[in-house]
Amino acid sequence: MIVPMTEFSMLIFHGDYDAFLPELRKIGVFHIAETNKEDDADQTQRRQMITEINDAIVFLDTHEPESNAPSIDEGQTIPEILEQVKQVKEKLEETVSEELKKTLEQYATTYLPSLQKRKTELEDAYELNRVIKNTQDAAEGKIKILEGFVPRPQKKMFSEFLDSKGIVHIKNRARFSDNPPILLHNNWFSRLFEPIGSLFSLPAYKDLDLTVFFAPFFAMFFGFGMNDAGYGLILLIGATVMKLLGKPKIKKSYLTLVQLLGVITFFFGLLTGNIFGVSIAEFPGLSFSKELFLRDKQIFTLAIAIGFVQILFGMVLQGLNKMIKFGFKYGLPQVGWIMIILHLINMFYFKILPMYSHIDIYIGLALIIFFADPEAGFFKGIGTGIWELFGITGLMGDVLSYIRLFALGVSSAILALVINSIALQIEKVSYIGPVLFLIVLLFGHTLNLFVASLGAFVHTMRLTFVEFYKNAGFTGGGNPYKPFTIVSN
Amino acid sequence: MTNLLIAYTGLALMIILPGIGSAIGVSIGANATIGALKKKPDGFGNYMLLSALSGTHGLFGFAAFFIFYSKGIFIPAISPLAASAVFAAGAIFVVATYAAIRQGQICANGIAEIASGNDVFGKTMILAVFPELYSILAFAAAFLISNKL
Repeated sequence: MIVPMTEFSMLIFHGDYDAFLPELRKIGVFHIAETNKEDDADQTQRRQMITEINDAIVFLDTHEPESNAPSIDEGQTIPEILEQVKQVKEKLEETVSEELKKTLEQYATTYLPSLQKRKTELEDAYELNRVIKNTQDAAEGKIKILEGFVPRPQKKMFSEFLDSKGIVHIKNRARFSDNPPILLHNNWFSRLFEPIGSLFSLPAYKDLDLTVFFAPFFAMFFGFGMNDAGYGLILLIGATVMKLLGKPKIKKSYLTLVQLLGVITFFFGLLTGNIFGVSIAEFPGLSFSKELFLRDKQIFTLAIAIGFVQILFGMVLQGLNKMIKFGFKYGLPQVGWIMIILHLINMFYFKILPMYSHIDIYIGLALIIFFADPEAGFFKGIGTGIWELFGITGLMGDVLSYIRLFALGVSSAILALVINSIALQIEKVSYIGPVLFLIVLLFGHTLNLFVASLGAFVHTMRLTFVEFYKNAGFTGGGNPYKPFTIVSN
Repeated sequence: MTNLLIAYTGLALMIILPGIGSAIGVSIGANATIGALKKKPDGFGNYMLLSALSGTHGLFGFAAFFIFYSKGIFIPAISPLAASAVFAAGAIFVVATYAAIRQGQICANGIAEIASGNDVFGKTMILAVFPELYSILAFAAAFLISNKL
């Protein structure tokens, strides 16, 4: 869900301005509306310095020795330190010697704290100047005007804060045209998928935040593409072990996501009866279960059916979002599309409803043609509507694109099968056969697990961001909510 | 005997065509990675994933090979129909050769951009999968052909 924003315009007497800014920073919820995005010379310099220091920090961080004996630097200035680090870095590219490593370790312990400190200072200064630069003057500089956004939940608190400081302000609901910043707020389940969504783009303020809606599909598609209960178990166990060991470098929420995907993959593998490339029905005593598992042809149909479901779902979302945010008639073309798609599915596949007439198709067509662009004039609107009808070809492409789920699942299952049969062949080698058997199994399945999960992940991403986002009317390109606050926090 | 030859040629094509494509595709990505490492060494994880993307085409070909080879139709008395089916299924994979090379080029561009500080990892992944769809379709088609044998 996108957190709604409130727009604040404040009038500040110029004498109070300097004292007011630290207070504003302390409260830390105000996102300034940027009228002037270009950095001036000072700001550019600060930014360059921040990048340079950051590079040095990253470089030194890798060489920091385990025993963190703090030592004091001898009062070098930051440019001096940077120069020293740069020299060592250049030498290191030519030759690697123990001596250089020693120097680096010494540098790391000595300089890192002061570099960190300087970086925070610079970042603070950069932020402060950004706010000053975007403040407008009025009444010959006697009054300063600050405009920006505050999330609606914090509106009351911020308003009280301004009152207590005696600052005149106006608050409004943020409009789409003001380009408000985007802050996402999701429940624990869909929050796991936020990093995936941000790989593509943040939604625009007028869009719907689709994270919660693509999350269940994403998990399901991943399982579909892996198609092996054994691999699901390995993902689950691997992520759990990493979590228990408490690896600091990987975020906990990523591991939870892997655990979740592992569970889904496990259940999907059970649905098709694959475990480490062996069909469950081949186990002794379980041959009766063959009928329970999905056959290849059924998986093929299932993939396409899921495609229809997700695309229709996306259209429902788009229609509802437009109806709520703009007005009822703006969502009608989506209603038309949904009617046409349902009619076609019924006509070609289910054949349940009798074909008395095709009236629903006509209504659907009319909705698309007449309401494609409600703001345009009659003829221009109809022209746009007829153009929109060409979307039917794209729609067919979108649905067929879901075949990839079937092909990915089948190919990962077949490769697992291949690894097993190679291992069985190699077991016949005398004496060391069993050892080789284990090595082939271990190595082969690790490789296949890597390739299959990469493929399943990437293709699921594509289905989400191309097919689903397109049909859900996602425009994207929102800028993230960055409140004016103290950087070191 | 001619029929058997045709069938085996089809089988060979399933490995040759996507294999060549994947080999070229992954090496385009890997070459870009080596250049990018100088500019931004800590992005190696991203580069590797992008380079590995175009490796899947060869695997699709191999999966198809396995499906056909395990059918047990490769006997001297193979029917002309079955032989041409295997050959067609192999010839389809010429699609994968091009898809893999093109995908490698997209990935290489993405790697170069990431190295110059442009955060396009996720977007490159999405765009790079566009050509892969056609390899997947080739595999799906080969699979459907094998179902009729």
